[in-house]
Formats: sequence, structure tokens, C-alpha cells
Amino acid sequence: MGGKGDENILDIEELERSYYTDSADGEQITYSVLKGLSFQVKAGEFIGIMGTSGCGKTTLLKTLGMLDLPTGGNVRYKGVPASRILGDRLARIRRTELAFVFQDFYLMDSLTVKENIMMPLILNEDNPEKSEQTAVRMAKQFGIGPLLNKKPYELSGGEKQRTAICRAMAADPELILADEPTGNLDSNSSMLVIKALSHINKKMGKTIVLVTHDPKVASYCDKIILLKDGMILNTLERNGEKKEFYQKILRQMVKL
Amino acid sequence: MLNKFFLKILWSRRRDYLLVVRSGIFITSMVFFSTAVGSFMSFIDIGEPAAMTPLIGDVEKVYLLPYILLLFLMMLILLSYIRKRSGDYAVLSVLGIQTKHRYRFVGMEYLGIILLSVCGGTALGFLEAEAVRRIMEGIFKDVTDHIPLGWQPFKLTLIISLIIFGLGFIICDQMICCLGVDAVAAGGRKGGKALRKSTVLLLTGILTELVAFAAAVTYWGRIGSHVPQALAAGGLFLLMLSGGGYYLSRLREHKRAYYRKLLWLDDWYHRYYYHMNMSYIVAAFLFVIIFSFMLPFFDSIPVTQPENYPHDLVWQANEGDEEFLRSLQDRYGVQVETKRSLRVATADFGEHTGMPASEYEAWTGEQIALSDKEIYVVYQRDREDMGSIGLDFGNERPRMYIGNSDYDLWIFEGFRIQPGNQLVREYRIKGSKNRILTGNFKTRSLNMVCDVFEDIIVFSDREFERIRAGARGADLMVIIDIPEQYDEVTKEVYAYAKEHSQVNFYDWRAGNLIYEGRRQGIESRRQKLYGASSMLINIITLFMCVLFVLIEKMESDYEDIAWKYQFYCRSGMTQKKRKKNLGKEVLMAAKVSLCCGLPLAYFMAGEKIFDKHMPGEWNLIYLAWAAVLCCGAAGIIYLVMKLAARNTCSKTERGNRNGRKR
Repeated sequence: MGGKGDENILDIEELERSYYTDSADGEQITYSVLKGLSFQVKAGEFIGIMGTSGCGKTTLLKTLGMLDLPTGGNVRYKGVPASRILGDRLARIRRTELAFVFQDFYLMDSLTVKENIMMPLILNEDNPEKSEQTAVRMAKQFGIGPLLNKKPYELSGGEKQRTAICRAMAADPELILADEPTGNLDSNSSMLVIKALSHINKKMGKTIVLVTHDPKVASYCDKIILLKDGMILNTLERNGEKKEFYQKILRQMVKL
Repeated sequence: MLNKFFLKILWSRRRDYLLVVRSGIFITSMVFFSTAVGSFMSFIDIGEPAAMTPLIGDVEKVYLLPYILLLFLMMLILLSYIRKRSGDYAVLSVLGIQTKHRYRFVGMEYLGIILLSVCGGTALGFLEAEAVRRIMEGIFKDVTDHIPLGWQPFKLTLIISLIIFGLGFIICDQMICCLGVDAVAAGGRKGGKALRKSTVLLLTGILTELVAFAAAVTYWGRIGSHVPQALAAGGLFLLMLSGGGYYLSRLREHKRAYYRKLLWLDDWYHRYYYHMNMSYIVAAFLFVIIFSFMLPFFDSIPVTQPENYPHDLVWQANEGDEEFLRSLQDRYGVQVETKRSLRVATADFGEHTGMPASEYEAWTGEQIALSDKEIYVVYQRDREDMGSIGLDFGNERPRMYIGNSDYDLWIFEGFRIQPGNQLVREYRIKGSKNRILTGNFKTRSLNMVCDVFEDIIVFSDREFERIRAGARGADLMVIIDIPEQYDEVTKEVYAYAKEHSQVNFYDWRAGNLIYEGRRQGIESRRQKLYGASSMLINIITLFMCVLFVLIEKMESDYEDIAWKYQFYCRSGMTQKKRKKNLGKEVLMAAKVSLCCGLPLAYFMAGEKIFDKHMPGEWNLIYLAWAAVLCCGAAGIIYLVMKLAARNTCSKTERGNRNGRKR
């Protein structure tokens, strides 16, 4: 009891998210993207979210990361409703406890790889020298040590994504939210990235929520939440080998 | 370290930042230039540097709407900049930037824009004003050999610039706060409302334009151009926004035309508000040029208008002065014509000549049948004054006092006439006409906002005889034409009048009621030269604004255009077609503004021209001049944008060849 694995970092209760748009005739159209999702994210878990395009994976991840607010239900971060986490408190959580990895990397083209990795630490007003050391250490750990002085546009997709992962890890956050981090990468680069994320989870004990539609990538997770039309279709737990889990995922994906 | 990072991020966006700064410099220079020219004009007019309050009044009278448009332009440029920077802001937000750092990041950037804009703009405006000052010193060398600039334009520029930049910042900041940077960057797409297709807006726009058309030729349009101008500009905005939305929506339904135009029209679907707002600013500037500045310019040319002063001297004398007149005739051979008259003061701070219908008929051959309480008004207006309001602010029953004006006539406070005054609404205007009989004598008024004229009010014979006995002031209008010895005659008349004649209450030099045709002609020439110069400067200034907005928009869109050009190249489009498509895209905003702004301005200006009730040939001349100006403006804009489009094509082509990174 009270072990690390039992703590809920995120509690999602009956989560709903709808978007409202106007039709050409001026009538309001409601799109319900998430329809009453409930699950928990425990500390140290590696959760994958899978589903077809448009099923609400990215919306769910944005809501979990407090980049978007739910229109119904609750998201609790460490027991506190996300709607109450605002302003500087939210900024502090983003700097120190929560990190994002995006499909499109979102690196600053004007800064070098090292400076990109250092950015969260500098924003947190950490010591610049220590921040630099952390950036160098991170880069070496994820195999981009020789690229530290290059600009993002000089890197390959896989290198960019690893830079983004280093940036996410620089401030030593508890939770990493990754939105299709392998979506823009070839299979070799994808493997490097997912192995890096797996390493972060297994060796460094970080909690990861990963959105993907690639079953091979998903097979690295401990638990898969399958979404269909904004609802949870099934939850798969990994009990055995990765290969076995991969086959299980493939079988379930047919139902999507 | 953080500052270094911020500066590096900013450096990567230096092109966009400099575009914003350039716009800021241009806007500030326009403000400085307009206030400096206002100050010069004020000096030429009153002979001393302008004080702050009158200068604000002068500048505001002419430049209120242009300043609002410049504020709107600054906001659009800032929002466009924010759109380009939204990626940086979003990443920094996701990484958890602290509020104080955000303020440092955004605040320092914005402070840089303000400082560079205000300093650079003031310097540029100063150089422009210096150039114009030298030209004006040449034009008005008979008035002064040196026109001082003074400190007021600097102070006023600082105040107006800070208002423009401050409001721009506050509005943009609030938009980001309320809508979120994503929505602002999306430029209207966020809610799925890429196009504003609203029947209510369209109808409101049409209605507003109709009201503006009506206002232009009724009270508000006759006392100035602010109200119809504001209504027309507001209506134009609604019409352009909703009309454009309708056009694009309908185009989408006609697949063939839609796909044919989509290559160069796609961004209008994508960022409708941005394109339409920019086009609106250009259209509104064109409207202001044509509607507000063109007509006063036409009114002032040619600057010498001798037809407004047909006689050498017009003197409001008394019946006892006939002996003096006879002696003048005998000694100098002057031609003297006398008319029985009386003085009539009106509540619009005017003093006019009253005369009986029979006298008027004998003089002009025009028959007028009037009952006792009816009057007929002959407005002695030149072209500039035509189409303005009539006696007592256009009232059908004007407040009048039979007799000359004096201190005891009004009890008023803050320009509102209070009970107890001697002005009564006893007469109804039966009819009126514009005709110069004695001359267009604009009274030297007591710092009035409008000129007051010496008009002729015709009474029925019986009523004239009844009121004449009790009327104070001059009772004999004398028209003198002097064939020779002009100076001697006028000197003698002035000397005699000083002893025996009525003083003009409105004349700050306390002169007698003598209107000297030649001197009035010289003064009028100076006034018309002054009016024509200031209107020409205004027209050129606003036309520069039009070109600047269009070129700034093109520069701002360059990144998107270059990308599209690359897409055309890679999809195998021929060079000729690529250039054609890009040219159409670059010219689109100019075409929209020309098609919307010019016709509206021309029709409203035409309406004002006809409302002046000028002789037919002048109507045609004005309409022809207006058409030439519209075609000239359209031609210059088209030519400049065509050249700019060609330059953009060459630039993108070169960039594409060099494999430049987008």
C-alpha cells in the first residue's frame, strides 16, 4: 500500500469534450469527440492510447495535459481538478512535473539542439551551467551528443524527436505525454524513439501516456486503451512477452 | 541566459519584426506629418504657431477617420505578427513559461516596436514635414518668409502614437486572453466561421450606406463631412465583410469557376478576415480621399475666382450719406448704385442685408411674391460654400433680429443661446437661391468654427417699410465701381465711414461695413491657395497610406506566396501560369478595395456635387475631375501593385532557384 505504483497521477471521470462550430446556414453544430471516458493513470505506468484517426486520441491527450479543458466530467491531476489548476500554478507544473512530446517536434529553429534541451530549465530559472551539463548528459544518453551545436533544421526526423524527448526529460518530470511521437518517422527512427521512451519508463521510472496508431510502438506499453468514436472500446494489459502483446493488439485493432 | 534565448528567438523572426516596426514608423510619421502640416497651416492662417487645443481641433477635424484606420491597420499588422509568432508562444506556454517571463518576452518586444516606431516615425515625419515646409514657404512667401514648426506637433504625435500603440496592444492582448492565441492565429477559422456570410450584416450595411447617402445632403452632411463619412465607412465595412462572404460562398457552389480561381483565391477562404480587413482599410482610405478631400480641393481651384467679387466697393451706408456719394461721383467719376436696405442679424452669428421685394425685382428682374411674414433668401456663396446649411443652421423659421448685431443681442453661454435674447422666429423662408449680387464676403468671425456670410434677405414691401423705421444700423447699401483713382476713392470712403458708419460687430479689427472687392479677392485667393495646398497634401498623404498598406500586406504575405510558388514549380506549372496566378493573388486585395471603395466614394461625391446646386457646367467639370482622379488613383495603384507583383515573382523565382529554405 502506498507504493509508487498505487498513486494515481491522473484520474479521469466521465470525461467529455465537444466542439461547437457553425454550419454554412449559421446553425450551431456540436461535435462530441470524447464521450464519458473514465480511467486512471498511475505513477510509473506506460499507457498507450490507440484508435483510428479522428477518434479523439489527441484531444484526450491535450485534456490530460491541461492544454484543453473538458466540457463534461473531470480530470484530476494528483487529486486536484484540472479546472482549478491555472496561471502560474499550471505553468510551474508544466515546467517541473509534466512534459510533452509532439509528432511535429515543436523545436525552436532559432536555437541549437543544446539550447532547445535547456529551454525548460532556463524557464525554471535553474543555474545555466548546471542546465548545460544536464542538456549534454541527456543528449549523450539519447544518442544525439554530437549534434548539440546543430540547429533543428539540420537534423533528421528521428534526431529531432530525440531532441524533443531530451527537452521533455530535462526538467525530470513525473509525467510525459507523447502525441504520436513516431508519426513522422521511418521504422528505424521510430524504434529508436520508442526504445528511448521505454528506457525512460523502465529505468527512470517516469509515467508515460503515449498516443499512437502503430501497434508495434504500442506493444512497448504496459496498458493500451483502445478508443472508438470517443469511447473506450477495450483496455488491454500486457501480461507476457512483447510479441504476444503485439499479436493481442493486432487482434483488437480489427474491431476498431 | 533567458534574455539571450528570447533575443535569439526574436532574431529568427527579424523579418516579421522589422515589418511591424516599419509599419509603426510609417504610422507615426503620418501622424507627425499631419500634425506638422496642421501647425504650418495654422501659422499661415493666424500668423502665430498653433496652440495645442486648436491644433488638436484642426487635425481631428480632418484626420479622425484616417487615424482610426491607422489604428486598425496597426492592430491587423500586430495580429498578423502574432499569427506568425504563435508557434513560439505555444511552445513556450507548453514548456511552462512564467507570467513574469512572458511579460518580459512579449513586453520587451512590444516596447521595442513602440520605441523604434515613435523615434523612427518622428524622425521620418520631421524630414517629410521639413520638405513640405520649404515648399509652403515658397507658395506663401507673400504671407511669411519662415514657417516655424514648434513643439506642438512633437507632443501631439507622442500622444496620438501612444494612443494608437497602446490601444493596439491592449486590444491584441485582450484578444489573446479572451480567445487564446490559437484562435487569434487561426484568424476566424477556429469556430468554423472562415467566412462572414450574414444576411443581417449585409442588410445593415446597405441600410447604413443609405443613411450615409441621406446624411450627406442633409444637416449633418452640410455642416461637415464627419457623420456621413463615418456612416459610409461603417457601412462599407459591413458590406465588404458580408458581401465578400456571400461571393466566396456562392463561388464555392459553382464548381467550375471555383476550381479555376482556387489557385489564387484559396487564402481568402483560409484567412478571410485578414484579407478583407486589409482591403477595407485601403477602400476606406480611398473613400476619405475622394469624398472628404477631393471636393474641397476642387472648390479651391482655380485659386483666383474674380466672379465672386463683381464690384469694387460694397458699403453699408445710411440714407444721410447720399450727399457724400454725389461728391464722389462728381470728383472721381465713380459709378454709384444705391439700394434701400436694413441690417438683419441671425442666430448663426451672421449679419445680412435686408431689402424690399420691389427693390430686388428692379435690381435683378426677378419677381418674388411674398406675404408679410415670408422672406426670400439670396445666398451669396462661392463654389466652396454651396451645399452648406442656410440661415440659422438651415432652419425654415430662422431666429432673426431686425437691426445690426451688437453686444446686447444675445444672452448666451457656451455657445447656447439662452432665454431672454432678442432673436425671434417671426419669418418663414419662402424660397432661396444661390447668386452672387454684391460679393462673397466671409465675415471675419469671432473664432467661429464656420464662416458667416453677408446674404441678402428679401422682405415684402409692406413688411420692409414697417420694420425699417425701428431697425438700427445701416439702411442704404451702396455699390461703387471705381474706373480710376482707386486708392484715393477708397481712402476717402474709409475715412468718411469711420466717422459716420456702422461698425461690423464680427470684425475683430472693428472695421466699418465696407467690402472691398480687390482686397477680398486677394484674401480669397490666399485662402483658396491655403485650402488647395492643404487638401493636396492630405490627398497625397492618404494616397501614400493606401500604397503602403497594399505593399505592407504583400510583404507580410510573402512567406505564404513563396511557399505557394514553390508548390506551383514542383507541380509542373509553366512559368507563365505561375506568374499569372501569383500576380492575381497579389493584386486581389487592391482590386477588392478599388471595386468597393471607389464607386461608393464617387457616388457620394457626385451626390454632394449635385447638392451644391452649382451651374450645370460646373457639375460636369467636377464630375469629370472626380472621374479623372478616381481613374488616376486606380491606375497608379494597379501599376504599383503590378510592379510589386512582378518583383515578388522574381524574388520567389530566385529564392526557388537558390533552393532557399522556406
